[in-house]
Amino acid sequence: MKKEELIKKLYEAVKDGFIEESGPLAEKSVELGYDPIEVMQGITSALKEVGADFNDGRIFLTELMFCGETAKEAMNILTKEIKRQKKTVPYLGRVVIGTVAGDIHDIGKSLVVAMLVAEGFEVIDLGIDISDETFIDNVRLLKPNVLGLSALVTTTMLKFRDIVVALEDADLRDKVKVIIGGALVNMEHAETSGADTFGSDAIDAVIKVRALLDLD
Amino acid sequence: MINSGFKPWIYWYSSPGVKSGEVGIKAGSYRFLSDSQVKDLDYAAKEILRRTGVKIPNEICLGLLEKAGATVDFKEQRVRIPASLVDEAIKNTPKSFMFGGRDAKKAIKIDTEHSYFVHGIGPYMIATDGSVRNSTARDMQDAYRVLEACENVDVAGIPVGGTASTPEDEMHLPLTVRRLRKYLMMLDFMEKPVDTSRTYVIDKEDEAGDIRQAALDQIQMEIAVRGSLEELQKTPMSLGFNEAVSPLMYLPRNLEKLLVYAEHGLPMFIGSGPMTNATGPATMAGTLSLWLAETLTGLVLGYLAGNPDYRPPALWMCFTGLFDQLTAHGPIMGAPEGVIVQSACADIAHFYGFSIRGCIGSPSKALDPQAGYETGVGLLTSVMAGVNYHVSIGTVGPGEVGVSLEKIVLDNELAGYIKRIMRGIEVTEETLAVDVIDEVGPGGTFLIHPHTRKWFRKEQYFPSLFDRRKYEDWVRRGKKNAVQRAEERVQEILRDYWPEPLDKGIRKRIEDHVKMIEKRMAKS
Ligand code: B12
Repeated sequence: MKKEELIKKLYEAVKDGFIEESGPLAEKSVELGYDPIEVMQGITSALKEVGADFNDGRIFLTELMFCGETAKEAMNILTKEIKRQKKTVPYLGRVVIGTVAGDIHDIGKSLVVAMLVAEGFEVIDLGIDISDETFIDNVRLLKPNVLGLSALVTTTMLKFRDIVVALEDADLRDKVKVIIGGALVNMEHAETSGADTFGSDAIDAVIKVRALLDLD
Repeated sequence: MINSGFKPWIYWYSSPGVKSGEVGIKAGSYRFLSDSQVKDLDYAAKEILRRTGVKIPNEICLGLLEKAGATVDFKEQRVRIPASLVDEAIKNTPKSFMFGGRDAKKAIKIDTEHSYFVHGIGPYMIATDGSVRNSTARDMQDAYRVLEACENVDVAGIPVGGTASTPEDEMHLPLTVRRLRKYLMMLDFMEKPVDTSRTYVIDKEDEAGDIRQAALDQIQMEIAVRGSLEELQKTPMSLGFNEAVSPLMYLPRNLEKLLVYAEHGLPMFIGSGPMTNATGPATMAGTLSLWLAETLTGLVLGYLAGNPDYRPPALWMCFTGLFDQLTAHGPIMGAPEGVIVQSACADIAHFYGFSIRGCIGSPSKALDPQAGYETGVGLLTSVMAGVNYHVSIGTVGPGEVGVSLEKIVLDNELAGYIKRIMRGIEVTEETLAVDVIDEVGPGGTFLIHPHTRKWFRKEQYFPSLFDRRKYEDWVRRGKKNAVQRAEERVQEILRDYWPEPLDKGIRKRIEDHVKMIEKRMAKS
């Protein structure tokens, strides 16, 4: 199979959610010695299109997420190959994300994670009920470009401010952008908590993270 | 059940046709599931509990379950529950109880026969055009007054939760104290029962394991109101809120709370709210089988932890909604799928003899036709299906994110319509009116007949907000639509209506209790 043909096949597999095909196609590309970074670009362009389709109401959430899973099958293989070749994976940036201490709301944050991954970010999801210290430790250790905080309850939303202050105390505030989100969160909370911005939903999260990193 | 209290103010605004203060109605009997379908669900849920099991992260609960014959994996905190234990819990858990506010005499009976309208909870205040703002302590008081004034709202919720509604000068107080002060404020304004079940919003103290203490503090406060635990057990003032987190998990703090209420023989909400498509399967039946498995788990826990001398009664609940595939938002309770799942829960709960709390609302952001239609269709359907306790009166947005005072008065009118519909038709010799029809004869009028004068008040519901005037009359009165009239009604209530003050002696007892807790917390 020619390189162009393989990339097109992979693109189609991701767009149509053919999950049994994406992995083997990626393996094949490795076998044939094609540049994994170039092959990956086929996948990201497919993901962008399905993202737009979802945004415009042409496909449904389950389908969008399934396309994401299909992409992941291939991405895992390609990422491994990129690392083996000692090249760097062309992520758009690194995002550490989690739901704050005392809060176990998970669904919205997971959607944000899925969309950011689909967009081409490297996302480290710390999970739910994450202590301030864990956030700080991970920022220090992983040096992400962006820290995403999710909270859905008015009392746990107070944590945004605490974490921003803790970042300042640890001399990390200017090294990472902070984005907050959750059902009740708005721009006012971003201002009062000292975060850089807020995302109203998963699609807005992608737009805002891109903007924070000057990607547009 | 008829409330004996007579308030001239309410009388003036409310329908003279429906007796003022008519609390609750007879639950409907329309069915979404046949007996054999319910039995299929019973089988499915028990199979889920036997095969997959539930995560219960609490040592005491795990111990109780193991002792009772469940298969417990302590390391995974996973429990598989045999059907026999479920059946034992179903059999031995009390199925009806009284629920009251500050005045035990005005309590309502929770059972499968009655149906009540209950205000929801929402952290924000929503204006009629959909604009949102933080709530204040004043908003909370205003909401109580409006709720108390609305004769068809049977139970008040926490109108506006969240830290924003804490007065500035109380922000430094520990959460438990703030919570209890809010409770006191509620009792100041509400004679109706108040559903405080969702006030346990966690923070640092609870994180440290003090949710138990927080629950005890609330129960102690209620004992101060009633005079003794025995009196409180007879007429509880709050229910433990023991929700499972779908799919198939319980939270440590919810289990703590469950234990406290169970030990005290106080009633509990048990149930969950799997979101169709996201935290529950995409099918209605799948959402229901998961919900039932989770609810039966709560039932077993409440039964095993329960005080054997005074078994804690249970009110089942389902707050499922659709997780919308197109917008990725949920739970959409006003969606037809949300409405039928919640209504079908009544068939299931009633099959076992339990009453059920449902949750209906509209995801509309403003007070527009969508909000009205969805609330109307949802409420009427679930009342007809026999749901016994309807949460979410007066809330706006998906998953009740906001409270609207105007929606409270609009929903109050809707509830009036529904109460009338559910009162049904009385058929007697007198109401059949054969003699009257004979007297009036062909071409006559009934308008001035004594039979009409005797009966119209009993038969007709008189809307106090919805308009039935002639066109010209409506124009003369300023062409106001229902939302504008609702805004005016809210203003009238806030200008004129003050509830009966709380009994001074009870108030003092509560204040002392809160002060004692403040002192205790200052020490630690
Ligand atoms: C589902 C739900 C639950 C589930 C959570 C299950 C799970 N696995 O996540 C359960 C049942 C466990 C639950 C528990 C509780 N809940 Co709850 N819950 C909800 C509910 C109904 C929906 C949340 C949801 O998943 N929505 C769907 C997702 C897709 O939307 P989303 O979360 O808003 O996320 C989107 C955006 O906000 C944004 N976003 C989210 N995170 C982030 C992060 C970043 C960085 C960015 C950029 C964007 C972003 O993008 C997402 C995708 O579009 C909301 C009501 C509501 N409408 O929000 C109440 C709600 C949030 N819960 C509430 C409450 C009170 C509780 C409890 C305290 C109840 C209790 N007394 O026990 C507990 C608290 C538990 C805890 N410690 O956190 C209240 C909060 C009220 C308040 N005063 O703050 C709400 C508003 C409901 C209500 N009116 O009572 N809850």
